[in-house]
Amino acid sequence: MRRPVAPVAMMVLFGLAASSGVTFAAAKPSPHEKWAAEFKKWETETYQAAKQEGKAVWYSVDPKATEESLIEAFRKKYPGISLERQAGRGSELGAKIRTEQDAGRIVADFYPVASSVTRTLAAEGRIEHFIPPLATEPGVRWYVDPLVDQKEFSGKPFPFVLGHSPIGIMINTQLVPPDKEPKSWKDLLDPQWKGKIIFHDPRVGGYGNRTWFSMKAIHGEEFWKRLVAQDLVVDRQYNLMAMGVARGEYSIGVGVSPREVAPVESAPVKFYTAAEGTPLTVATAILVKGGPHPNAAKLFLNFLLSKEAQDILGKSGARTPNRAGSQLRSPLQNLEGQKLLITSVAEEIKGLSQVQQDAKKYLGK
Amino acid sequence: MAIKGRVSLPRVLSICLLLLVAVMVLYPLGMVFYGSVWSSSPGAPGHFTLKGYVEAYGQAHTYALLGNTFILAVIRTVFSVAIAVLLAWLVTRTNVPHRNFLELGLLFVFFMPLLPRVVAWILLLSPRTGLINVFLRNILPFDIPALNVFSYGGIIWVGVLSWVPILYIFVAPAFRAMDGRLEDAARMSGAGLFATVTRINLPLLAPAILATTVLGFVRMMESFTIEAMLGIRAKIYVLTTQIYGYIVYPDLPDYPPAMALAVTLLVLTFALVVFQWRLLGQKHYPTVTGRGFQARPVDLRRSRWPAFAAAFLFIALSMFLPLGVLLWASVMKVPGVFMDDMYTLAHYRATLNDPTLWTAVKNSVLMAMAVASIGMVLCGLMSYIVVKTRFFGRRALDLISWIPWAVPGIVLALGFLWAALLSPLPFTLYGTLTLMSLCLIIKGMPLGTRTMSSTLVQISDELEEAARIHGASWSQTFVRVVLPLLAHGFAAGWILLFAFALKELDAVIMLAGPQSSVISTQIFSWWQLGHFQAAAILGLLESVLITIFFLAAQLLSRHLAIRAEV
Repeated sequence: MRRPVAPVAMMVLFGLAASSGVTFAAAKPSPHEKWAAEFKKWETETYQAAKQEGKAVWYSVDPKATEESLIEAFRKKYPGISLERQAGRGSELGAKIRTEQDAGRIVADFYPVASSVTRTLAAEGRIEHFIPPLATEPGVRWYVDPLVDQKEFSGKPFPFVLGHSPIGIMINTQLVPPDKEPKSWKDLLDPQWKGKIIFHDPRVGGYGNRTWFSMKAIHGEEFWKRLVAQDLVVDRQYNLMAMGVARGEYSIGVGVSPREVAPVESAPVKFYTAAEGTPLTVATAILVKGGPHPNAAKLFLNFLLSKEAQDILGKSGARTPNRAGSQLRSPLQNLEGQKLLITSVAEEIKGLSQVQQDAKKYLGK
Repeated sequence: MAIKGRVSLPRVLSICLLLLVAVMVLYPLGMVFYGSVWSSSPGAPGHFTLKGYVEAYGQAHTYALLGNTFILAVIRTVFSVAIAVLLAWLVTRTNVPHRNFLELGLLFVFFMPLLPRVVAWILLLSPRTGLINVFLRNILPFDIPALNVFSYGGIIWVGVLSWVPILYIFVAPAFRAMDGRLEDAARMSGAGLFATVTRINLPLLAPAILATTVLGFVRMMESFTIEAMLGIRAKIYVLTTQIYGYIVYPDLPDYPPAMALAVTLLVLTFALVVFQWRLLGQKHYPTVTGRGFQARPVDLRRSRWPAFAAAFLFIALSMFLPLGVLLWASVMKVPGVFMDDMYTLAHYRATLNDPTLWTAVKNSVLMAMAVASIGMVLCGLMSYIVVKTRFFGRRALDLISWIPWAVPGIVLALGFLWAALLSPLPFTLYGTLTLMSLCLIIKGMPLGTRTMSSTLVQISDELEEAARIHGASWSQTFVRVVLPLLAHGFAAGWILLFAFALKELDAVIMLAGPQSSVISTQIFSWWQLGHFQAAAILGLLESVLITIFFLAAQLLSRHLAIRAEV
């Protein structure tokens, strides 16, 4: 009969090690395992609390198809929590939140919108502190750190980044032949475009205002004067602008993002960003201070950073997701390799408002 | 009927009603005044200040806005009143063919939601690609300047088409109830058509026309949607767009100057309403005798069909054309863009399967029914007290019933918003259908009281006196004699208020919450988010809904009228 060699050898080795004082500690969890365990605990506790609340109220500026897909995916993942939406324009809903808070009749729970709105709300102390666990997931690559504002708000509650709206130029390809395409903002000064450009009104918050800001930073204020001399037509409704270019009413639209182009993309239109760079409106989200359903809101806000939700954002064409490698639908573009023109918090809170005032000198009050 | 005695039921009821209506109307308006002298948002820490007035009136721009608002209001009023009076005369006093059809058409124009209609005109009259401009360029052998909807002309055009039906509704009852014997006498004395109209009809109806002019002017001053959609590109700004701009466009809502401008608008329009009220005094259109005399219609002779064609053209331009364009655009991949394979039903599938749409429809119907029903009971009682009693507060009640006409929708909504947010009630009305319904009942009050008053003046006091002589109490007389006679007017007012509540946007846009989305706010938010086709489909659905309720109300009122006769 043969004697089993391996087990005996192992026992000898173990005995030797034990007698020499060597200990075998349990394997140390990797950073991701540690994060996953903490996340699981947070998710379970928050979900339980969210189910007690039953719902959350979402102040939304997103297209309805995007909202519906996000809600459906969220419901599948977290049954028992409903989401109520109040749709509107960014600044309108911001005004509503302020009014509700001042009067102590708060309806909104969370609000994903352009950073110019959320950062102002944060600076006013109108948001609740919340860092979504998924924003700290190890190994995930983001275009912009979701917690980029943490430093600037130094310890105060701050919004987190969930996506981007690259702002660019939209042309009607039947009216603008490929060799005449204005590649840069300077090209817009060509006399052939006189009276043919529609621009989002820089005197109010939004993409036109953001573009106007970068134009001044790169070409100086004189550039505005020359641009206005092109008989610039301004409008405050993105969809009317996009429809106007799609129908050929205007050859060029400036101060639009892919999300406005998406509904008319079957028309002869093209979207691209200017050679000077891509002004980026960062889409951020906040938990409203004093909102009645904080846990359900936290669960959904965290979900917005998941791969699943980021893919939905990209596939619906609503925004470029912040999670690199997410799925994208035309005309959204991969931001890697682009020259991004990102504003700081201070620029956004003070600089953009100043541009609104300055623009009135050129466009009238 | 006199309301006498210290503690009689009608007297107590009248006092309660006066107090209720006064609170409902004056409380939110008080909030507008309060907001204009408070330094921050409602409920926020602040102090009393006049900085809003200083900010608003310290800049020349505000005076340009006032000028624009005034000029646009004057021009649109002149055209709208002229067309409304002409149509009212044609439909009520002449033998123009298919009068019922024309009247029905005008009512439907009133019922159509405004926002999709403005979009339709953008598709029709954009200077380069508007369908009418393209059509004219193709058929005319010479070049003409493009018609541009983004201009003073465009704002006036769309405004006139939109406001004529409402003014028609106000002026037509006076034409209808005018004593026709004077016309007959003029004709028998050899007066021609022109002389009869200019020397009999117009002088007799001058107070009614003047009152309608004042009311029309007030309406034009407070107009918002058309200016907001068409004015920006043409650099045309008015008071209402500036009020909206102070609150919505800056990063921080600037309430004090917004409320200061709202107060200005309020004072201006209120002064005009008081002016028209004093003009008419206690008499509701003195030419209305209530004798039920049916005059022989004026014979238009060879002008019958041209007159019909002109009236039909107005209805076609204000209803059929925009409706057709909306229907066409709603099945296009991109509205107004001609290309291969440009039609699709995908938007219908997506929109009709969207639960948001059905929530908005359900909320709207519930709200509009509540507004119409509660509003008409309230308006009926108010009108009865004003027209049929000698209650000491009837003048005040009459004045209060007209105040909401002087208040722009957006200002009333702001007042209600502040009132709801600062209310001492233990529960919140903010963001509820109840608050929106309250606001709409107030805003629709002039429509309801006008309809009921014009019905009440035609009911002879003798009927009530006869009932009282035979021993009936005040309440018995009211329920068994007056109410059945009011059925037709009540049904007409009900459908007017129903349609008004369904389509009104300005008065509810600041008040809607996530659970109280209604058709008008849903159309607006879909439009803003770029879902044009969804907005158009909902606009069309709204027109269908109003048609169904209109026909139902017609049937019901006929049934009630028959029962009353029996």
